[in-house]
Amino acid sequence: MREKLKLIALLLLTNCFAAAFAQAQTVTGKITSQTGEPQAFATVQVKGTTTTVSADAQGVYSIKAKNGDVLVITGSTFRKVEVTVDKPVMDVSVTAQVNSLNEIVVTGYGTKSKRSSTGASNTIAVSDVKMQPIASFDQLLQGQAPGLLSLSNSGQPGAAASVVIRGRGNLTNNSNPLYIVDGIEITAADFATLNQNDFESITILKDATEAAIYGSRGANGVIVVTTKKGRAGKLRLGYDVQYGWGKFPKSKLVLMNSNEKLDYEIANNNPNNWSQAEIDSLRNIDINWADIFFRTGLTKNHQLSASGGNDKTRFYASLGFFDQTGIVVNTGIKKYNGRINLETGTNNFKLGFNLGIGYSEFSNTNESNQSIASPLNAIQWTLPYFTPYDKDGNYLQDPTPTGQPNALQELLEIQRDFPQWKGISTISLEYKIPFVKGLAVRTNWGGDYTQNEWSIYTPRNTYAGSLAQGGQGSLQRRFDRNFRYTGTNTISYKTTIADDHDISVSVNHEIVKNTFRRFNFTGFGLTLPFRNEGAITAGTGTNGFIPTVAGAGTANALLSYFATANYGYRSKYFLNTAVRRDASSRFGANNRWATFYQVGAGWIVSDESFMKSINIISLLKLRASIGTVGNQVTNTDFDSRALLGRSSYAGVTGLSLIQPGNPDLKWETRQSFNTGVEFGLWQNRVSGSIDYYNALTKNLFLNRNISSTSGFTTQLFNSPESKLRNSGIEFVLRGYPVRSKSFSWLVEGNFTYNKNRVVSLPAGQDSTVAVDGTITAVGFPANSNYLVKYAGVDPANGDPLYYTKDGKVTNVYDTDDQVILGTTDAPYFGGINNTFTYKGLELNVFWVFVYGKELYNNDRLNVENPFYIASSLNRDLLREWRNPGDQTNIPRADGAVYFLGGTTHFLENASFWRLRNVMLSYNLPESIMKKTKITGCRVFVQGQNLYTVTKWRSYDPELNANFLAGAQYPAPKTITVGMSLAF
Amino acid sequence: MKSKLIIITSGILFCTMMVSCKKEFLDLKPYDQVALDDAIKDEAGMQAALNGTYAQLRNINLFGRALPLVGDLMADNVYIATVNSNRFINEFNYVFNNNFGQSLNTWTEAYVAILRANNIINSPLAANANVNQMKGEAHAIRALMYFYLVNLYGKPFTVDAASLGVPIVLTYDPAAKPERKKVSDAYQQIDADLSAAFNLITSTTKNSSYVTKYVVRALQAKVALYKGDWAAAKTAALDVVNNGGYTLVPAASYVAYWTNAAPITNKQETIFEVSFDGISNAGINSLAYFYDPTGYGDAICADDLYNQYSATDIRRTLIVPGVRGTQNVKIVNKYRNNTNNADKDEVKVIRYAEVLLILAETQARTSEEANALIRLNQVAIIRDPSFAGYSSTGAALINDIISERRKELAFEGDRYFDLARRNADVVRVNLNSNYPASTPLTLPASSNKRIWPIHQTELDANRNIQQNPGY
Repeated sequence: MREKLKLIALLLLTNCFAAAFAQAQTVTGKITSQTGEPQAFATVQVKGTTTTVSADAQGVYSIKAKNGDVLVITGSTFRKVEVTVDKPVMDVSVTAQVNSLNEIVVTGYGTKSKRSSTGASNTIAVSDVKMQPIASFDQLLQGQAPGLLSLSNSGQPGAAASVVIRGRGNLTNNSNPLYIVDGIEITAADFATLNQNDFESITILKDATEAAIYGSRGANGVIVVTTKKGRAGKLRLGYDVQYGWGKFPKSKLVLMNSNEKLDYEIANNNPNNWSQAEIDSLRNIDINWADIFFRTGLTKNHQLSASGGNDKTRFYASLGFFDQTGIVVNTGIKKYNGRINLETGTNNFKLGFNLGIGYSEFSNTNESNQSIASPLNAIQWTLPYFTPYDKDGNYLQDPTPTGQPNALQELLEIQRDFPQWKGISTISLEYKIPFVKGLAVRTNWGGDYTQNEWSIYTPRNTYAGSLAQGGQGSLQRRFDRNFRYTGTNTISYKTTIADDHDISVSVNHEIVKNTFRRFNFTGFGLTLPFRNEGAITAGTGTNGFIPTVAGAGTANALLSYFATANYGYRSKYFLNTAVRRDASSRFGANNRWATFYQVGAGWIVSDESFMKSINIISLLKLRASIGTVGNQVTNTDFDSRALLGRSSYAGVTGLSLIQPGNPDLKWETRQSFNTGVEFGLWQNRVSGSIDYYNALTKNLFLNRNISSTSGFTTQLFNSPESKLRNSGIEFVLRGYPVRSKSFSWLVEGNFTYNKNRVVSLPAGQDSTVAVDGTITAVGFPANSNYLVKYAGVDPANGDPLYYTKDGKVTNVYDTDDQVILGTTDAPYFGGINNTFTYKGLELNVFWVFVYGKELYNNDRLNVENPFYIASSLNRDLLREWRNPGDQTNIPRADGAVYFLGGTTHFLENASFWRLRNVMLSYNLPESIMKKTKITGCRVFVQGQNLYTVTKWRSYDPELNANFLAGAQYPAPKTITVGMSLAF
Repeated sequence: MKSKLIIITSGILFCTMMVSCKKEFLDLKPYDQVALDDAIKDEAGMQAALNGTYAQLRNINLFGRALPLVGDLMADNVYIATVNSNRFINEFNYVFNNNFGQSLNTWTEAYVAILRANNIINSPLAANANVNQMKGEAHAIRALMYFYLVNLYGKPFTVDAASLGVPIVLTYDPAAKPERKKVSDAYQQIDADLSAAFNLITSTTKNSSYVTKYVVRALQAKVALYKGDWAAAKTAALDVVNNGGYTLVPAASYVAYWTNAAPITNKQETIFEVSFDGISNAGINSLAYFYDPTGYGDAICADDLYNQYSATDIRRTLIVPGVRGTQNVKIVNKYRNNTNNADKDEVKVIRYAEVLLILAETQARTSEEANALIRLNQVAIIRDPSFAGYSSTGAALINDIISERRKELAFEGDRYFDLARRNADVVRVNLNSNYPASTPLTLPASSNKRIWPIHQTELDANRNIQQNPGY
């Protein structure tokens, strides 16, 4: 301990000497906003000279200047400031302003200014998204950055979104980007248990240059999140509170009411054999089942944060509570979060420690399936002339021969709980070696622990319970834990030669290891009155209640070495390069290692002297990059090996070969090229960027069909012949149509076009039809729709008509006539944000759109198939062909000719425009605040998903699957009110 | 000075960290699975692999359902009721083409069993009595699979031994694209495997769910019968009869025998069967569920078959008249443990009665008619105690043996192959409109539909495979 103290003292001393010596001819200072926020990477230039420096991440700069020189301070987040040097320490306060240049690009291994960045990345303003009443942060990314498509398949509270950056890059349907929080990898699906209020910055890294430092994992792009750091100064407290109400959206699919349905049944042979008396009585009932299942969901959100410290030690701490009940009865999420971030040390020696813990309780219902036991299907399927309860108050059981379970009973009686614990902790040490200026070593270690529990209680009085083994209900319990640690060691050196040449190099070593364990059991025979394990009947050889018990586990590891080198000349020309070697445990010993590289160049044209005369152009930057990134994620962690798994014969365990293995399995590589231009006009009143990218994935993981005489039908391999291309263009535009002292109107928009094409596949396997009916074929986007074209109804006889492959009309349905139609992945998408500011009042209107996407609506088929007459039906069927001459697109209900299920009749346009968020907020003026101890107070009212334009015929067009199976849980329309206080 | 020391130390530390954890860090082992290279390294590992091989026989595309079902359904013993779950309709109606799913499934699963057996047979584990026993059992399972494969996808040996059989795969190689060998090659492999099995296996006492020395002998008798090699069949069958120690189940315990769901340890009736228990079973995809009217109950005993049994035939008590939809049907009640939670029906592969009938047939065909009648009546009379016994000769005797085979082995998947080996037409006698108008009542021996097509998936994946004629 004493030794340590001595060392620290020594370090401090050394540091002081160094600082005193440095001050002699140099002006230093800190650039902060009016509220004290440090302005990282601001550019400081001595006016009239080429002497330019960048401030560091804390806004501290140091520049050679004489008294009387004028310093020009520019940055993306504030208005340009000029100050005259009159003392050696020049702290500068600046006025905040939104601009794109010189944003910080947080790469997780460090930060660099957007000015010197040569790749494609976007920063998302956390303040814009953090107060949206959504539990899972990945949903908030929707429409926020070009090239990033975030779609949530579900409106269940806490549901994760699917995020795809620059298109699906492989054919194994693994398109999740890599998520990095404070330098370590975080499991994509678990954001519901993290607290986005703790996030300080969110950066999306899209091309090879930006993602290549994650080379082994960056093929699908990287989302880098840093959490808030403490700020020196007096203790600051913040409290945010929000209450909200959510309602279900109206479905565009209108079902028959009782009268219509009964009439339809009578016209189609009265399949339920209703007597006239029964019909007369049923006509008096007309239930809208959506009203029974949906309710107003409530949101409560409380966030408390504290920050403070001194020059040596700073802290940030927070507590969060988020409680949201779903719009469907018996669904919701409650989450509790705590965080503490500490930083301590001197200029040369820094220690950082971050700890975030979250616990969430998630209750859900089954969705996205066509199960009769899913309550969300029952909303559409249950007959309108049945009530949920009989006159004695018991659940009404459908008396018809094909009776469906009472869905309300299923929903209320079955309890599905998924508690999750999440702990993320990182520790970092940084030591700037005092003898060699610019040389530093850094080590960053962190763990991501996730613990998932399942508890699905299915009592015996439910339909699902009657299907359980033994027919007396089941209790399924599961416990998973996953731990991943990431360690990164870095040696970096940074120097400036002859004032003009900025050089920084680093060598890095990284390890990542993930371990997963699970055990689970399902008990049967729930005959006692407990809603837990107490109800389980002990299994015997004869009673049928022998519980199932199982477990599983897996692990994977990555080992990487990489080096980066960045060169800047006069802060005008930039060259970034990196190379890395990665090894993955997933591959066979001979194919573990792979090399990835990146090169990027940038040129700030507007800083050239010949541009000085063009006054309207305040910024023009050109950049281009090329490089490779890798993908090593296949189906399981041990796909490369032939494996034997557990089996049993005659009551004795055995081992059976269950996986063919492929020792030649190796890295999938995505090679990408990106070029972009960034511009600012009229003092950056209008700014933006345009990027073009072209990424080719090679050595795609593919299941090849092998001769089943080998004992297996398919084998995973890297197909050298197969290639998948994503190319596209991204626009960002930001401008002030109006900007005056008291009123401003800011428009920010982004737009993406992504073209996904399967370039080639191995011979004999040039198209694959997936289980969901979509096709992946050469020359088309992966997962395209593949159906027979529907040609309407023959008015003469009511037969449905189909188009043959060559466009002729026929009344014979033949799967050979299937054609490739439209993509299930949206090629066009984006977001537009309007911000109107008037004094303390701000109105934010945020639209998102997804265009060019077509999906098969099986949810509609479920209620439009005339042979499902036993359940509720689409009102469209009232237009069914009945008599010769009827002009309609609904054919007669004849099973011999009715094959609409495999046709475009159910293919719908799933494009949409959505008013994603509207927020009106008011910052109470300082004049009022002064009288209190409160330093800031903001009140707001916010609406989400208030308006959607779509042709999609169900509740919600926001879907990430290749089709809608059924049982959709729509995203609610919500209104929230809230307040943010700072002390 | 001190801080320099610190830097140097930390520098060294840093560098060590970077190089230390290299190989072992990436060498991870699966948690609950074992790599093939590590699997069969000792006797316990081989025993586990052998159990895994036996377990594959339980697959629903093998003895779990398909094999014992199609042998009756494609012949004249069983029909699909009008009210049905839409399963096995193609097999029933002979609608076979290169997309016929069952042809892919049974093909694939049989080769899975062969693969697992291959890995045991090819294990370099040093020979000793235990290893030999286990390798012998694997040989027998491999022979059994090739026997079914060649009979489903190739012409009968007795009809055209030189025609296309099946690929003979003896080692694990996922990249291989083997071609079909001749039918005779398959039989040669089967003979080789069975004689290897006979030489390696020492046990004669393991229970009926495992292969013992006399299981191999019984299979040798059946294989030789299918080759028309009467002498060899007779030798093998006689060895089982004289030395195997098996007995026929007496009439009084016949129903109890079929009700029993446990393996046989007293050598009564069963020679080899595939074990199903309360946990490891095919559930709603089981053979029993397909016959059980409280399950799918789709498969019904043809009235023609029912009428073959005399009223006093104990075997008829396992066929129960009942109603399905509006049809009066004869429900097969041979598999009685569908609703038994504790244990499920074993599926018989070969029984003592069949060995006796093989012996009778080979004797009848080699001028030992008196002996043949003894063996035939040994079976016939124990099943029907009121029956006086057969006394036929010549072709009539052969016919009686075949007819007794049909009655004895009904619903066990024998009939179709029994017709095939004798190059006989399938002729379905349509009593009481058992068969709908759309169902073919005959399938001539000459028809291409007598053997299954090779599925298109296999043809696509393996260009060296030749399709059967007519597909």
